[in-house]
Order: sequence, then structure tokens, then C-alpha cells
Amino acid sequence: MVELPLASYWHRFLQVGGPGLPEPVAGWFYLLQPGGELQISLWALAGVGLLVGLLTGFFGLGGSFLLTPWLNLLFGVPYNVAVGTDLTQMIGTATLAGVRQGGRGYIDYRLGLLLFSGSIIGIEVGARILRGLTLAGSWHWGSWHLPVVQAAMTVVYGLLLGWIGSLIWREARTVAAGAAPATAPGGLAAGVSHRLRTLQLRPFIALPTSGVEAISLWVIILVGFGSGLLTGLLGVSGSFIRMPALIYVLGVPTVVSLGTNLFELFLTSCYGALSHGLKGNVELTLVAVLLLTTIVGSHLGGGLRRYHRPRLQQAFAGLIFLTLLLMVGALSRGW
Amino acid sequence: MVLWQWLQRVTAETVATAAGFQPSWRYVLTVLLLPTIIGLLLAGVLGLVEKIAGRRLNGGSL
Repeated sequence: MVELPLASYWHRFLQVGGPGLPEPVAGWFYLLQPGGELQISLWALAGVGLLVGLLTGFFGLGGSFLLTPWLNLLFGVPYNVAVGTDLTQMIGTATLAGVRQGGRGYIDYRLGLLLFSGSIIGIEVGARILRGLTLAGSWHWGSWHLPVVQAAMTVVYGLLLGWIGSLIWREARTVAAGAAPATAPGGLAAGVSHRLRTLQLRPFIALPTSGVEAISLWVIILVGFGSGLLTGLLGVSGSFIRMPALIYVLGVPTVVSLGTNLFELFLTSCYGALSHGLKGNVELTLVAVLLLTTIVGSHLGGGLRRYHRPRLQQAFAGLIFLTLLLMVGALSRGW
Repeated sequence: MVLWQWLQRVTAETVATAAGFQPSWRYVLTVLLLPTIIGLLLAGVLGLVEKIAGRRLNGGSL
């Protein structure tokens, strides 16, 4: 068991004004002392990092949107520290991907920097909302107390996990039925994409590298802001919003969108880590362990992709729903 | 082990003040450099493993 100094600090902060813990709380892989000291199992952390990496490598997604709630649920890390830590380790992932991608793919630097200008605002707004929730303290009822940030983030993450889990489940069902999965957005998403793409709001700019003749600057900034908000608030990369937006809203070719997304990911994770670091949300030892284990795990998972089956993808969706249920269940326990 | 203890110390320093959390320049710099350096090192190691194995390894996007 090792102690996490920053997470312990925030636990002490969140207990101020309340009755405090009468006795140590033992969670899945952590021990929270009455004084707020948080101790976690290092081996369990390495195992969870490896598992998250394995799932990500095998299914092609799942890193950050599972890691942050698992850090909170399984290791008792307060949400603000889980988000800041997850975001910081993304710098390493983006660096690794950038080096390994090398000359392959194209980067539209102009588009990347314009997106980043919107992302900075989004990240800062998200990080400040999270800080506000953390500083809002806790609700107390007798000996039971629940930090506001814990309740709010459980709701927000619950919605995100529910949405992603249902998308994965539906796609697995479609593939199992022998049909090709949808490659373009339909319904409401298609309508929104079309409206944004044809928005007549000056100034318009051209993106020669991406082959886009004219698009409203505000649309690019809006896409950057949206993904940045998710990054700053939830610690996710935002790629699951940014990539479809680049392709279907801005009309960027897939090969350019891949490189540009990676460039944007590096910039946003650096800014996000800086912003969260200055707010006291980055536990350095967690960053080191998680980065090493998730990357090793993702390459092991990548090697197992030939065993991919729709049933396994449905099981993955089930794991996401189980996480959601456990998160909601943990709310009743308080801290 | 030395790196681990150093990371623990740098983090603990930021919360060992009377004013609560106070980020030191060492802490902020480490937040930015630690993942970058680990990412670069792992890129080198993976490149070496690929060279020995004679095939490209695929990872997912985290």
C-alpha cells in the first residue's frame, strides 16, 4: 500500500465541516484513514492500468472514459485528481502515438491551431467547473457525508458511460446480425452536422491542406470548445467527438483528420495537464504507473485483435454498464 | 525506486504548506515533462521490440 499525498489532501479538504470518518474505510483497493490519508494498492493499480490498456488495444476505445471512474470507484481517488491525472498521462500517449506515426498521415496545422484556440477555452471552463464542484464541499446528514463533486461527476460520467455503452452494444448487435455497422451519423446527428457545415456566419476561412474551400471560423472554434470542455471536465481525450466532427461537420478527409486529431490531442493534453496541475489535480506517481501499464496493455490488446467477436464487444458494453451501476451504488455509501 | 520517491516528495511538497496547495515550479515542470519523457522512452522500447520481432505492434488510442 502506498500513500497518495495529493489525493489525501483533497480528502482532508472534502471532510472539513463534516463529522469526519469515525473509522478507516476499506474500499476495493484502497484504505481511507479517518484523517483523510488515502493508501492504495500499487499492484492493483498496475493491474487495472494493464486491463484498461488491454481493453483499449483490443476494442479500439475505452481508455480515459473508463480509467477516470475506475480510479474513483476502485481506488478512492477524488474525481478532480482522477481527471487531472488521466489527462496528464494522455501527454505520454499522444507523444508515443506521434513518434510512432512519424511521417504517416497528414496534419492540417492551421486547422489544428484553430481547433486548439476553441479547446483552450473549453478546457479552462471544464477545469473551473470541476474546481468549483470540488470547492463546493460536501453534503452532510448525520454521520454520512457526500462531496458535491462526487455526486455531480457520478451523474455526468453516468450519462457518458450510458451513452457510450449503448452505442457499443448496438454496434455489436448490428455486426452479430450480419449487417455492416453505420459509418456516418444518422438522424439528429446528421441534421446537426449538416446545419453546422452550411452555417453562414462570417468570417469564413479556407483549409487548403484539408481541401475545404470555405467554412465558418465559429464552427471550428465550436468543435474545439466542445471537445475541450469534455477534456477539462471529464479528463477524456475528446477524440470520440472531435474525429466525427472533423470528418462529417468540417469535411476533412479521414487521413488528414487522423493526424490533425493527434496534433490537437497533444496540445490539449498539455494545456489540460498544466491547468489541472496548477489547480492541484495531478498525482505524479499515478501518472507514471498508469502510463507505463496502459501503454503495455494496449499493445498486448492490439496483438489479440484477431480474436475480436461481437459477443466480446457486448461483454465490453456490459462492463461499462456494470461500472455505471457500481458508481451509482457507491453514492449511497458516501465517504 | 529513486524516481518514485522523488515524485512522492515533489507532490508532497505542494500540499505541505500552511496555505494549502501551492504548486512549485518543479511540480508543474514534472507534470509536463514526466509523461512526455515516458512516452518517448516507450516509443524507443517499442521500436526496438518491433525490430527484434520483425513486425509492427498495434496499440489502441487511449
